[in-house]
Amino acid sequence: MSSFLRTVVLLAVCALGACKAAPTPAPAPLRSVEACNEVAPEIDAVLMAFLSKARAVHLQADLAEADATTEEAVRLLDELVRMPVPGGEHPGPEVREVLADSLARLAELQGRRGNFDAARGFVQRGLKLATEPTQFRGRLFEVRGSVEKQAFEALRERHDEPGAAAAKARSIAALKEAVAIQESVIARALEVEPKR
Amino acid sequence: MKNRPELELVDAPQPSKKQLAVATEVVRAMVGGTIDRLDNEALLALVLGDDVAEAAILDEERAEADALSLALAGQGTHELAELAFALRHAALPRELDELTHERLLRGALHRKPERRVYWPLVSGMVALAAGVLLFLGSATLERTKREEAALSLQRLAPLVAATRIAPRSTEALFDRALAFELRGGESERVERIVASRASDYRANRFTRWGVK
Amino acid sequence: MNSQGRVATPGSSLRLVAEVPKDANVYGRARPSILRLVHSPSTSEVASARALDPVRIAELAAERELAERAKAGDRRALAELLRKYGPILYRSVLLPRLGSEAMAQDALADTYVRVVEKFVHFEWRGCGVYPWLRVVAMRIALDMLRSRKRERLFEPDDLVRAIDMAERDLDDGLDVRLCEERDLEASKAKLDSGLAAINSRYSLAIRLRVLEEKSREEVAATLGVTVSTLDVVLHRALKALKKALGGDAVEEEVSP
Repeated sequence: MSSFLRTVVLLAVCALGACKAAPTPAPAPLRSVEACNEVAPEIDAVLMAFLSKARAVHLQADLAEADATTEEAVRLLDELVRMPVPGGEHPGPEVREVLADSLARLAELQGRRGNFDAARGFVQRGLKLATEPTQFRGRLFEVRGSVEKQAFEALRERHDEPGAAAAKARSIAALKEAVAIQESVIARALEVEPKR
Repeated sequence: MKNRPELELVDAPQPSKKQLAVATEVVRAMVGGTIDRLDNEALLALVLGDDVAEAAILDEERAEADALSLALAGQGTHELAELAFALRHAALPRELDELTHERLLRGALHRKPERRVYWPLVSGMVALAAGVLLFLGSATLERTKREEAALSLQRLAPLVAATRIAPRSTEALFDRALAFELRGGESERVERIVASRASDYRANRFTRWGVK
Repeated sequence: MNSQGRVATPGSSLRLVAEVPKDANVYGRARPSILRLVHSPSTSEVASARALDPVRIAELAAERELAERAKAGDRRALAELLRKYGPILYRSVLLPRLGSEAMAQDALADTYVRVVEKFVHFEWRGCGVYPWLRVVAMRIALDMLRSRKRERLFEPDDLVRAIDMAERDLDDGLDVRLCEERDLEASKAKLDSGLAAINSRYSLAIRLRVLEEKSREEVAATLGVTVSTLDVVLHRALKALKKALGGDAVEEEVSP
């Protein structure tokens, strides 16, 4: 008898023994389906409402940008990233990614307007939401690199050489990080996925 | 003489009562000057040789057509949309993107060879074990109906919840070979996320209602 | 009835393919047969084309070396071959016949697994690896068509005939380019025969909306209907096509 067959027989005997020996489990207190839902989040109406709101805000921001009124675009997006979100302190992946993308957009807009500190703040908030190495996190680093590059140019014009050098270094570091994240995204995409 | 089109009608099969009724309705509407585009379509379909059952647009058909239109736009599914996509793939087959190809290739190259199992013996063993379990079970498992109901509900609940689609990262919706643009593209991305999750949301509702 | 014949021309041949749907008389009038000439190069034509192409000869020599290494268990060599030919298999064999990207990707993955297992049995025939891979991929696609029920253009019987032809091509030493052309041509022919079997207004709706991916508004304007009526027309058109595809499209050999 091969080792495999011996293992099968042994397992079958053990299973029978366990069935015989195990006492009948006492039924646990009945829990409702709703109680189960609390531990297993799902795509629900609240999430859809948030996503729809985000879509509407981004479309409005597109229109504002098309009219060259970046201030209005910033106002709209700022409202979006401040509003209460599904999941509260622990939002789900979709909410975190949409917010991270919105914060990246805000940072990019503020960078263009020369509000570098505000832009840095938005990137920082975004990075706290997009913690996994995804394209959303990669974009935040790219925006950070771009903002720091703009800061570098502004500081150099003001002849603040040490400040400019520091901004340049931050820009390079952020862009390197963006490249590393994109490489990691590609590497994960190449990993073997389970067969459907 | 036989070549004249109007004479060919002589050989045409006689219309059914239903066909005549539909045609009469449509022509009456035309004569009264009230024909709308749908009726016009119905008349066209009749003239072009459709089945009469398909000529008049019923609510059911309208709903099907709407569902098909949505499915063609990537929202929901419809069996005729499957056919439409199959036609598109036959007419203009798209290239496989490099990343997906590389993943498939690596999957095959790094796959471990399957271990040969003597299935008749294994299934025999399992059947034997199941038989003994059944015997032991009927002898020892005595529960009240209330306990059984409580247990089965309790066991069912996580199963029902587990069949619902959970929130997850949206990165699979985007081409991972390309980083996001530095500027713009947010609206398209959120649009794609909404479209994908709307379909999950509908599926969850159907599951909750017990329709799925 | 359907017919297919070889027209004798020196050095090459043309097959005449005629297809008639099963329900040809369903509307009280006969539908016309669809006649099509399919270019089918002979063995000598292929051989002479190969003989005149030194670049291809060099490519084949390199490919043979890779194939020998792959056969001896060199996974890198096998990967190189599959990297070259996999995308062609996907685009010209699997995707058109299976009609869904997900199924075609599954089929390509299964093809690779089968190739990894069976490449040790591969025998070099002078025409390269592709015709052999093509037969493997078609067999996988056939299994998949049989096991998964969904709306599609090709039926398992079509695949059985295609495998027959592909095996003949393998014997004839057909080149990768010709195999690819032939497969794409076969898909287009199947599509055209389906569209020719329904009324022209319906086939126009399908061509514009589904194949050319024009907007609903644009197609509705072309057909002279409202957008919502277009949805109904398209629904009827696809239903009619589904019905027409239920007909036979058997190809038979006819002696010249």
